[in-house]
Amino acid sequence: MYFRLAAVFLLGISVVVCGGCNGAREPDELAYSVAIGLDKSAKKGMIDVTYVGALPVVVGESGGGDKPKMTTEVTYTVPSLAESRNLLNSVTYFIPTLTHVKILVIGEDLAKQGIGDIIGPLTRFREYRGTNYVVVAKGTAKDFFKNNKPGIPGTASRYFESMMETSSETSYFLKTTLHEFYLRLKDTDGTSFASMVAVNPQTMEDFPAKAQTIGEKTEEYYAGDVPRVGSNPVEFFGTAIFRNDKMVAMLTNAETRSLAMLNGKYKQSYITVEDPLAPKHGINVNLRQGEKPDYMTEIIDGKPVVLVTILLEGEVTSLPSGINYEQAEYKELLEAAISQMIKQEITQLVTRTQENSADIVGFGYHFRNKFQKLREWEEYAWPEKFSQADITVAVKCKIRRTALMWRTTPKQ
Amino acid sequence: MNYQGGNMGIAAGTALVFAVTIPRMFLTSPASRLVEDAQIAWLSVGVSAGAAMIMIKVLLYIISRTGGDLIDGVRRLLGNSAAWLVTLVYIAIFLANTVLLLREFAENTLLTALPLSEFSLVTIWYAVWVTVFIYFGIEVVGRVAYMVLPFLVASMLLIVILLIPFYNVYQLVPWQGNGLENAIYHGLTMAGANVGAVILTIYAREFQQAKTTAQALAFGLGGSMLLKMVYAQSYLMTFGVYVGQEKILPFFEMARLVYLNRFLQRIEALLIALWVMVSILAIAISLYTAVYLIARILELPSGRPIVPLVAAIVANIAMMPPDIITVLGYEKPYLYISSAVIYAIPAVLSLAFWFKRKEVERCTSV
Repeated sequence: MYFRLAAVFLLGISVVVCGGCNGAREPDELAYSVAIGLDKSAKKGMIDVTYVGALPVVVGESGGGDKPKMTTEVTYTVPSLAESRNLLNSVTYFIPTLTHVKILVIGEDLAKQGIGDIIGPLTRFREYRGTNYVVVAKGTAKDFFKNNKPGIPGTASRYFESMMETSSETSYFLKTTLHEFYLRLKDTDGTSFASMVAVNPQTMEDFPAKAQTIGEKTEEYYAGDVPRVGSNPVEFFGTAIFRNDKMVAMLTNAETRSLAMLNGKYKQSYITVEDPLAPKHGINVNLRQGEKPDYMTEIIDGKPVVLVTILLEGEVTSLPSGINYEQAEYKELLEAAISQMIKQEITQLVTRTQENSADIVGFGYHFRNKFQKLREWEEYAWPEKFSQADITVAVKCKIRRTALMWRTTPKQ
Repeated sequence: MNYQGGNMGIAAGTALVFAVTIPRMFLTSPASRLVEDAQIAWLSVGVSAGAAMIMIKVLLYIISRTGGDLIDGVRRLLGNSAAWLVTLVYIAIFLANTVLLLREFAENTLLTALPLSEFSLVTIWYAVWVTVFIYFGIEVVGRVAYMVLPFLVASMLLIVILLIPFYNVYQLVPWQGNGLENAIYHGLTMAGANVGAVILTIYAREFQQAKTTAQALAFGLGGSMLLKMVYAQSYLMTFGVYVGQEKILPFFEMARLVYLNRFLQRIEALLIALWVMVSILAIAISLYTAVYLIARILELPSGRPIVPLVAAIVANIAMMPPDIITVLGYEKPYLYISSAVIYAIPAVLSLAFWFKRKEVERCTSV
């Protein structure tokens, strides 16, 4: 009898406790931060932390007038992220929570100064997660948020998430997560990189990053330099590369695409290549990665030697010259031209990474299997060997389709 | 809690062994293995389980010949004093296991699900539910375990599959990690992580026959070994050696990382419920076994009246260490001692059986 009474009593309590009533917080009691910006502060030893809070979207509120704001920003100068979280509680009657943070934006100056002390602790705190995106802002994160005007309906969190998810459409910027960034901070086999974001001045001024690659019809740009007007002033473009925890250089959009190809994460994008038989024309090809890149590695007299072969498959989407590149003999010409152009781009990227001693591709991982024990691999000291590595790139491009036309008839 | 015999089958035996040997996968164990063995941690895990399986198989063979359960077997081969000693050793092992698991799971509940709750309240809550649970006896615990088992295995494998986008297979090399010999040595010295499987010999009389216990051992410990090895590899491919060593809750971290798209992410909350069930089961089996052995040694007709008392003592001891790092520090000596027990008792019994085999009445069923 006593046992049954005790069981009923405990079950009764369970209904209350396990139902989540104890310590539960209603969604409208919480202030959801969807993005955090980190900048170097004017004050020594401090950082500027910007929180982007999501504003509730009122269902059914539409019609004329200004579009309702999706977010609100607040910036603090503080010695640590924890302190800024404390201060956040003083400006809102909601309880601050970081569980829905989507993106961490790091200002360029702070990234160059080193972010190991900031990124490391984030992985310890349960409100951050490995799937948070990490990007570097050209200029400051504060300006990035101030100028960010997506101009589309929806939620702020969805904007950041969808932006990063769509990176695979062009590979002009890459999806970089806190998990991957932190792993590479700790590993000696590869160095970290993060997508770049910037505020575009929208003046239509053309500032190409460098001279065009032979055979390419398009220019390369760094983040914030794309000549354009209109739409959201901010753009996701290029990559910031790190050596240890310090940003050492930026990559252009084409270099970023090459990085994706080397990592095997290139999904697809359009390229405009010079027509091999009518150079004044360009040919548009939709490229995709045919298979994961093949790395053949060797260590010869202590020196690492790599041959990386990349297979690309393409679909011709535009042939302004009217030359029948659909036919086998012309097709091979086009394939060779594309292969040569992509090879040059990738080789330039590899050279840049070696100059900066930043193995963002992660060539080191491919040498691990040459060793039996971890200690032997650590003693090989990959970061020192990377700059002297003999890296050869081979690109094979195959035109698989010619879109909705199978031949081009000349103008009569 | 009578020990006159029961009728547990292979499923219940398998589930009990699985439930009592798997919970450390949900704790810091995978990270500690990476510290010791790096890339070859999976082999160390396999060696631990393999060594434990062989030694428990020896025990099962001996008691299949002597008849009865482990205590009866020891009494028959080495006398009453030895039976007392062996029982006391196992009481200490299972009570210590209960204390460690209770504290670690309570701490981890605070860490992952209930950050605002009072630590002592969570510990007591676990202890109360375990007390209620084991009041129904080992057969009920076994049945609950085999109901939970498919969900547990499926969920763990689901995480392994959902994490495929994060895998870097090059993290598995250099394949020998900190060394083959080190892995075997650590595997052998950490066999104590599977000491719980000895319950098959303690409850031998509750099973239908000797073959049942042997199969339960093979499926239960073999299954948990396979899952642990798969998990060790999956964890390594996701986090690598250096970051993998840092995590206090590898399973939770893996579940947290699952992200397929905007609609399939943040699934760890679903799995917290699962590992709470596993923790309750593991703590219940350990506590029940300790109480059962106390009842046996004191020749009590039933252990039920002392369940709340022992649970209260265990909960109080669990709350004594000042922090979780201290508790993790106790894990290693506990596992070393358990390993010594895993090897020593079957070895001594084997010797005794060898010398007395003609005197021992042959018994084919338990």
